[in-house]
This record gives sequence, C-alpha cells and structure tokens, in this order.
Amino acid sequence: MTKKKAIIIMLQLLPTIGSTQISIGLESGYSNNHLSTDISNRLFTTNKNGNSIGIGCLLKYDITKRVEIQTGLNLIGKEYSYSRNGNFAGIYETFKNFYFQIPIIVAFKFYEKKKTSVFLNTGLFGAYWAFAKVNGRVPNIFNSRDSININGEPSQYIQLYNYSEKYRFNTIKDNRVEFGWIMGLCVDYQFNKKYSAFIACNYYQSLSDQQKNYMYNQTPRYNQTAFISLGCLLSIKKRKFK
Amino acid sequence: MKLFRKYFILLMVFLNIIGFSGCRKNYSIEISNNPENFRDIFEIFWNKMNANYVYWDIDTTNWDNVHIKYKPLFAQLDIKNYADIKKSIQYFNEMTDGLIDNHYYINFLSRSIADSIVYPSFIRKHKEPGFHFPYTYFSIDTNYLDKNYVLGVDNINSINGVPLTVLSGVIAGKILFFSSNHFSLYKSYKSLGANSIKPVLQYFFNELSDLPSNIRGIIIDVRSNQGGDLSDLNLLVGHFIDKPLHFGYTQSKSGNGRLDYTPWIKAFVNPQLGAKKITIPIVVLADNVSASLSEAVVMALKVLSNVRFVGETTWGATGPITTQEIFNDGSFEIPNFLRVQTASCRFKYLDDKIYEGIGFPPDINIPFNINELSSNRDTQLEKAISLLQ
Repeated sequence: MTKKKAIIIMLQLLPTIGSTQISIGLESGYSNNHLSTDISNRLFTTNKNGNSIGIGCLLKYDITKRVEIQTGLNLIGKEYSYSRNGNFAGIYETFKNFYFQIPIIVAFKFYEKKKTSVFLNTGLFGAYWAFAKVNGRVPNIFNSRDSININGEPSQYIQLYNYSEKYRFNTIKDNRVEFGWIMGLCVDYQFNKKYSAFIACNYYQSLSDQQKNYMYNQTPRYNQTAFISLGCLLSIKKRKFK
Repeated sequence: MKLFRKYFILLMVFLNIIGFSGCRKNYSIEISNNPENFRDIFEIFWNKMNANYVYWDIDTTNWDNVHIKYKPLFAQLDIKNYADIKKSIQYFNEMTDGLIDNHYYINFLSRSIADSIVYPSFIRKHKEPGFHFPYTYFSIDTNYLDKNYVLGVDNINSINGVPLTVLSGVIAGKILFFSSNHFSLYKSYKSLGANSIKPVLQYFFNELSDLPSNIRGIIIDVRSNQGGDLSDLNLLVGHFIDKPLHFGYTQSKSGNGRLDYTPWIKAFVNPQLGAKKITIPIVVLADNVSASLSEAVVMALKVLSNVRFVGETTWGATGPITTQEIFNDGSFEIPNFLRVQTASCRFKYLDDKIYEGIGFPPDINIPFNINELSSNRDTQLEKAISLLQ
C-alpha cells in the first residue's frame, strides 16, 4: 500500500467534522455455538452445536454517512454438547456457558433504499466467561440392574443418571477471558429521525483457547458463535453531516 | 467508493488471516494404531494416560515432566532389541511408580516380555510394615463354626489358581457368618446348572430373609478378597437393605483434557427383591489385601448404623473398572505391546473422602497375626465375635 493510498483511506474513515450522530439501543436474540476442537479419539461421541440466547445494550456512533462504529455490552450464551451415539445413544453432556461480551464493530453501509439500510459488520470482541451450567445424562456404574447373559456371564445394565448443576470453574484449566473477531450483516429500518429498529446476524470467532495452557499436547477449544438479534435504537444527537 | 471496497476487502482478508492462523494450533497427534517403534509407543501411552487416567487432579505425579524426561529415552530404544524391550519395562515402572490408582497394572502382550508386569501399588504395599499376602482364613474359621456349616469350593471359578470359596454357618448358636475369598457369586447363584457355591448362598440368603430369633449378630468376612464382579455388590449388600443405599459418589472423565471431569454422581446399592432391612448388629471383617469390590462392600455396609468394621486398612483400590468405551476413559491397550488396567471412574465415599491409594480404615484395628493363625487362632474373627456377644 502506498503512503498516498493509505492517507486516502484514512481520510474516508475519519469522522467528518460536525458528524455527531449517536444512538443507544437494546437488542436480544438467539445464539448458536459450536466448540471447535478435536474429539475424534472419543468413541461413539459427536460434538454438537448448542442453542442459547443473548441480550445486550449498544451504543452507535456514525462516523460518516456510510461508516458507523458500534460497541456495547452483551450477555450471550455459548452452548455446546458432547453426545454419544450407537449403543451409547442417550448419554450426553451439555455445557451452557454465558459470557459478558464487549464488541467493537465497524459497520459499512453498502445498500440504502428509502428508510432501509444494510450494513456489513466487522470488528473485534473481548468477553468474560461469567457463569455456566452443565447438565447431562451419564452411566452410573454403581446403580445397575444385574442379569445373566446367554453365555452364562453376569451382565450389568448400568442405569443412566441425569444431572443439572452450576459449573464450578477450575482456576488451573479454565480460561475465562476470550477475544476474537466479528463479521456480520445488519438491516436497519429508520422509523423517523429518532427511532430505528434493526435485525443483525453476527458471527463471533474466538481466537483464544477456552482452556489455559496447563498441559502438554493440549487440544485447543474455540467458540464459534452465530448471534441473530433484533433491536431498537434511539438517536440522542442529531445528524449533521456536511 | 471503489477505493473503499478495495480496502474493505483487504481488511477482511487481514481479519481472516488472524482468525485462521493467529492463535489456532493443531496439536492432533498422528500416530499409527499399530506402533512400530518405541517413540510411537511412548506417545500413545503418554496421551492415553493423559486423557484416560481419572486421578490427575489429586495425583502427585507430574505427567508433563514424565514427557520431558522419557520421550528422548524411549526414542533411543530399538523395538527389535530384547535388552531395549526389557529397558522399556524399567521406564514404565519409573513413570508410573507414584500413581495413586491402586488398580493400576500393566501387562505386556509382546511374547518376549509377557511374564513382566508393572504394578505400582503392589511395590508400595510390599514395602509397608504389616504387609502380608492373601491368606486362606476359611480353613481356620470352620473351627469357630457350629456343625452344619456350609462350604462351597468352585475349582472352575478361580482367580490366579485360587478357587472361589464361600463359607456360611452359625457361631455359638447366635452369630450368622458369611465369607467369600473373591467375588463371582452372582454368576454361581444364577447359574442354571448345579454348583457348590449356590447352596451356600441360598442358605445364607434364606437365613437373612427370615432371621432366626437366636441370631444376635452377623459377621461378613471379606478378608483377602481382592474383588471381582460388580453384580455381587447388589447381590450381597442388597440382601441387607430394603431401599436403595446411597454410599458415595463416582466421577469419570468428560473430555480429553487432564482436568475434564463430569460432576460427581450418586452411587447406590440396590436392594434384592424381597430383601428386608437387617437391624441386628453386623461386623464386617477386611484386611490389607481386601481390594476393589470388597472395599465397596465394606464401605456400603459401613453406611448402615448397625455395622462396625474390624481388621486392617484395606488395599485402597476403590475406583470401579469397566470397558473403555462406556466412559471413554480408564483401561486401554497399545496393540501388540501392552495393556493398562486403570479405574474407569473414581469413587468418593459418603464422607467426601477419596480412599484411593490410602485404603478404608477399620473402626477397630486388629493386625494380621500369622503366629496366632498358625496356632489355629483367628484374633480378628475373635474380636468380631466378642463385639456381637
């Protein structure tokens, strides 16, 4: 990139003097999370995406007519499951993790028609693994019903045990701080000069392992989260673009 | 606008580069399932242990240091050289000698070293004062029983050449006695064919279901019983209870990480059909080679308020063992080279203590006394009798 071109792009991104459009808003929606890791050595086990919810408040700042910066605070669920199959179908463990998340999004308006605008979102996020719950169904070896199989050998029918409890964080293992990048789309509808509503679909790719580096040959775990949200915005400063 | 688009694409490319290569490292280890050299054998062993062993958070063995120290040593060994193969056994002994899993055991599948074993808990126990080998108590204990006792010996059903031997009868007309030298009772009890064990069990369970008025107490003797089939826990202890008995908790691994665990889940003994709660005093006898399922029997019975435990602290192998695929942890095999036996779950007693590697302590400690036994006197049994008279 030449110096001249860099200056031109910076000038395009820098706020135009006098543009002080600021909006605040609320959003809530549905999240779908995948834990990116390798469990191929675990027999009859699949890694399943989890569905959860998210809520948040946001602050939007219009830099130019086409570029906005957004930030805010979200509480977002990043859920996943390990589910057994084959002879072990019915055994599973679900991890319901909730993160406080601060995104910093640069939104580029690439389509506008009457009151509707479409933005391409890109940015970074930082998150804190605030609390979690685990539930599942596992074999309980000390709760069996016994019988003799056709070979005359004792067979235990191990009963399954259901549990649902708060997850206890392990300070050696769990990395509660997460960061990564964001990409997505947002459709904005402007009711009037003050109020607008939007629907956004953002993808959050964690770049930090969910575990601390606590052992050799550690298989990393990364959250990959899609978050579809509906929200409303209230403009608190007038648009004064030149 | 065209310029903007161009730089936007560049920004996206940059973010994607960060995303897909910045922090992501793939540690997947590609090793053949049929290792051809000691480097592969070591890596499989180390990784399987790392993922399958259930005591990492309380074990003092530094498994990362084991990797640092032994990886280069194994790399120097030649799998076709007999001296090197023998050397590897020494390394396996050294790597595992501190593991607290008292079930832990390695046997070798390679023909040239098939007679070798790695058994850390045995080496530790052997050095302890008071250690003794399993003892055949029933030959002396029959002297304490009234006539008409029933003894079953099953030569087909044996462990290490020792046949299953079950004894039951009455002591001094008022104490019901039962002993078993290992646990394979359910198989015999449910067997369609005749065997010498079934009549002993039928006698004992009949007495329990309709206790004669002269019986004041019961002695359950699992001394020198090194465990066996899990079904026997319900069969034996299930005759003393009329509802499920919560006696502890189990926990298994939930992922490949060394510290990935499921929550603790409740462990139960289930009552046998028609069983009644036994309320008269019970003494359970165990010694320092009572292991595995016999320890579970002792611990389960000890939950009952009318039970006392006499003898010695048990072996300390409390984690149950089953096939690897059930919990995706525990025992494993390196094809054509070795097989590791290790607990599939860990067990925590009702008092929130894990007795693995430590052993379950008796209420009344009466040490093994070979001199008295040689004189046909069983001091542990005598103590049990005195508590029930």
